[in-house]
Amino acid sequence: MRLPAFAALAAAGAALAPTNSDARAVTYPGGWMAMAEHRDESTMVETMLTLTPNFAIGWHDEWDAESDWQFHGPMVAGLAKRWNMPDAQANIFWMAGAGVAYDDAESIGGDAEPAAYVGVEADWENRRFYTLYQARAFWAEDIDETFSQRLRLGVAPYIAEAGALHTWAILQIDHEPEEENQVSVSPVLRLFKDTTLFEVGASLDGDAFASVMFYF
Amino acid sequence: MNLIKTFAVAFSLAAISPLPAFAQSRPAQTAPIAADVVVSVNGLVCDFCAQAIDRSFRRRAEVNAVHVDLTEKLVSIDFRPNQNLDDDTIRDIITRAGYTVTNVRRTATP
Repeated sequence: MRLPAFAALAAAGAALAPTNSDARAVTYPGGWMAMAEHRDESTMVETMLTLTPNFAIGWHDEWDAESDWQFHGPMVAGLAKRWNMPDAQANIFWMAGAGVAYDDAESIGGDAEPAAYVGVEADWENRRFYTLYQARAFWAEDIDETFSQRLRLGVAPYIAEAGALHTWAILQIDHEPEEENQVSVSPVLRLFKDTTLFEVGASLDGDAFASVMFYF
Repeated sequence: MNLIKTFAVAFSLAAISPLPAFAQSRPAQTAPIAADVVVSVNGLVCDFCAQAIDRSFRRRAEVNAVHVDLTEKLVSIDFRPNQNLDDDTIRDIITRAGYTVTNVRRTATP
């Protein structure tokens, strides 16, 4: 993907945020979020501080052993729009980051290129059902260019009160056009209690992944 | 990476969960309280919603305890002796946490 195409995608992402999951980059003013995700051959670590009800800043690190690169840089995220309904909530978030990518996943001694990414996320949930759509594009000119989409449908097997263990069974569909298997389907188990969210899953092709997220 | 290795990574990540020790040490109130104010709120659908509201109120010195009822969509607030927050402040705290207040009801005079 060339720079103009990426810029167009970024603009499209912004346009999709017409006016901003349990995994939320934007929480509440003064709230911190830290997360780590490992899937197949990539690892991502992210820390965010929410400054206003609609805006957060943070730092993003990512290592991709399969494509052999790593990325480090600051990021921003925003809540473009939230709908608070009596029994449900829906959100549109955007996120973007810029930094440096190195063409070696093991060391920062390789070639370095400026890199950036942009994403948009929309979710709707009530206490029984959960849906999410997420799109993300990453660009590092001579190192890697990727676009990915994710759709999630979740159901809570029981309704938990505040402070209890919340459990979600989620079906996740990933679309990555550059991959050999462009579409993968993964059952995911999500556990959320107090300030810790933990997810584990595996695609039907056998690629397992896990993530943990803390709010504080 | 095979499944076993990934699950090992997952459990290693879970093992670092003491990180939230940076958080306030007081645990979230999970039982009903004798509330001075009961607020009806739209958008309360998840435990994270409860955490956001609980933490937003517990930063205030006036607040003794907070209880969030996800079923009834109610936030109950108990003030410390001779302390209070006016309705506008309560609405502002909940709005800034990301939720919509539909009603504020006083149950006692502090």
